[in-house]
Amino acid sequence: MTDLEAQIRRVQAGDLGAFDFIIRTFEGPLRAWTIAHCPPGGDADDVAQRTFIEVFRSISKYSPGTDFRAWLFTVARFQMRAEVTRLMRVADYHQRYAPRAFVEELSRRAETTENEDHGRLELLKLCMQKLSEPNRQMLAERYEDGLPLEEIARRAKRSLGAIKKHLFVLRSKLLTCVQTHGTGEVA
Amino acid sequence: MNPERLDELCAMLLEGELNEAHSLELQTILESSPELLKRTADLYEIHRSLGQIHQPHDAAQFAQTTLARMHTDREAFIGTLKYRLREAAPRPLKRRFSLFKIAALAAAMVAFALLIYSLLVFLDVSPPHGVETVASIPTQPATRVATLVRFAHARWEPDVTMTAGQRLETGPLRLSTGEAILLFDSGAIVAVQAPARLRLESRGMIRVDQGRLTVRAAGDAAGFTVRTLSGDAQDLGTEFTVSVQVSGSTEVHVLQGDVAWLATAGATPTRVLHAGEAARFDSVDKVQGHPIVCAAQSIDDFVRQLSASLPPAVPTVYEGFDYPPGDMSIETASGGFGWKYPWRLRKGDELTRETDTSSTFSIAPTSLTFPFQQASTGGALNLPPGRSYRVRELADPIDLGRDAIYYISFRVRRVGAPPTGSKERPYFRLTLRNSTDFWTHSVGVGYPESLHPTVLLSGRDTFAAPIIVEPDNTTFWVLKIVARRNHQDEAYLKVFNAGEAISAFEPTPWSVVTDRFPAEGILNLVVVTGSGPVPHVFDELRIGRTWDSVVSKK
Repeated sequence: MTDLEAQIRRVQAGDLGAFDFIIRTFEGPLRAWTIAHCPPGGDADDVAQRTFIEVFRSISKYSPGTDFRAWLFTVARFQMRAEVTRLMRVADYHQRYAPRAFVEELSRRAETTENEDHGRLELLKLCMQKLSEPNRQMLAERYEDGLPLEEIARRAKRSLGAIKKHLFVLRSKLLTCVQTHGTGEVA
Repeated sequence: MNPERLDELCAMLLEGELNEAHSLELQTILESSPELLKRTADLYEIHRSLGQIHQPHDAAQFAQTTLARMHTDREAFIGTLKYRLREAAPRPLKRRFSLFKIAALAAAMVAFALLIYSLLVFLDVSPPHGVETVASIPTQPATRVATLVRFAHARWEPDVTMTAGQRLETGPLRLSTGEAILLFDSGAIVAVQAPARLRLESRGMIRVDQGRLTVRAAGDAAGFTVRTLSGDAQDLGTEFTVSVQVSGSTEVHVLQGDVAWLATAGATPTRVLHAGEAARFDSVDKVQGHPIVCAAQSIDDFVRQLSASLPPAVPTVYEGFDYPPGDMSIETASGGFGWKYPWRLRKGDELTRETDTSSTFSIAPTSLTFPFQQASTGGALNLPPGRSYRVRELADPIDLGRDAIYYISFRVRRVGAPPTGSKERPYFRLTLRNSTDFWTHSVGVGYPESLHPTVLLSGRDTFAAPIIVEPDNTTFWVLKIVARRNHQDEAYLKVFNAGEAISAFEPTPWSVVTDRFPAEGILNLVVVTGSGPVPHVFDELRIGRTWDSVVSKK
């Protein structure tokens, strides 16, 4: 019996503490998946937590020896659907956040994509290492510090439009690099 | 289609800058090409993953909070059952029962609850999240008693979208994750930490079934009451924390001043706790409570930490009149951000018999300063004696037909008093209008000769404040518009005279609160008007979605 199976059996026996092991084992890949597939305005971490809560509630349904990871991601897909439904209930969601076609494409991917997002995250980190220092700095200002684009433009002594375009080009290059498994040029 | 335009729209999508027109344009493009749709979704995934890589994440804390939610999920069910059993029982409990019998009864209740819960888990029935534990308490019809002024990482139950600045009615409020700050109309500030199950009872009372909250109730808010299963904590002009477990066990920690503990509502206090003291009250029978170590976070610390986790509060529209001093051609005045076009004069149907007596764009050499705000650079807009109408179109209009809250702030100064015997009356106005239907819908504020600031609605209703604006001083104005898709709108105005400190949160009370009014217009024009025998100076116009984004506090 694997460590995972042993912990699952403890949870099935009512040991809430044993579920900590399960959360820590799957938190990385699950969050990578929810973050990548959650539509704009959604709460990816909440989807991940609700997935774990639902798995705990339904743990008696799990048959030992079967693919727990696949089952967990099936539950995650249900939770993501619920999140998308919640967002759709928000008045004027599509006007404020995203066109319908785009949200539907994200939902389609969430239904069909295998859970390889964690691997892609590592690939993206690798591609980021290929960026020049000023470009990495700009990404950090945008994504780590959460600076408004106006402030990034002011610091870089460039126009707002130029910063928007530059960030878009950086994302496009990183996408090409990830799609070519880290071989794409991004400098 | 133009690939650069797609890139532009895609960048807007990723930056959260799409408006309705952009969204429709992008929708059309994406529907026409599966390849472009795929690329857009790919870029979105990269964008989200970049966020994940850059944002700090504590895996241990994630596991801890998930387990805490699961624990709460289970406890909530048990707590609900216990509460209902308690409500059904006569209160207070008569002494004819022996302690042994009481203990046996309590043990039986808990055992019964656990048995039921185990059965439900076995049958895979979800705990009843939506059960209203205080439904049996008779209440007045819902009235608005507080404002949600700030929140972070907040998740509400049931799932609803809440907005900073949103007015809150009497009734239940449940925060499943995150933190929030409520400002009661009595002036009491309440900081809430999840998981919390609350009920807003009135302007001066909140009921806590579960959760931790800190209250500051200074001045007129004194007497604010936190009602719990174990008793009432009543403020005596102070700051204190109340923590309530699902079992009903309540801790009170006093940071400043005194707090009275009332085992029964309306009764004489059974205990008064002083600053630095804390006690735990396990039931209505334990009227003195057990002393515990005082450990609570002040409101100021709470606000500081919560604010640090929020993105910087920036306006969506700004005009600081950072132009060279002197007269300039109005069509070259295109500074600031959030605007579609430069400033202009009225045109076409916008014109009335009252023509502009000045068409130049006159910039004062220095900015208007207000003591409690950050210093600004550049100049200010002069509105000379006579009649001056200055118009500018917003890039992103104020939409009165959707659920949204808008804040508009500016500084204005009336220079001097009208000469004795003058027939002209001084009047300053800032009005929001529509460019294609200029006269139908409008929301504005006015600074008339009477000096009483006013809110003006579509030329029909005027709401005047009891306060007066100090002439010849720079004053700071904030207009809040609460727009609703399916309900009537409201507007609030606060005018800060020189020397009046700008509050950390929205003011209580506002200078003017309008009645609810029906409005559905799209307001995409800002019209600034100065008329009369004396000049006005106007500066630092901001429009944003939160109080913080428009007040620019030091």
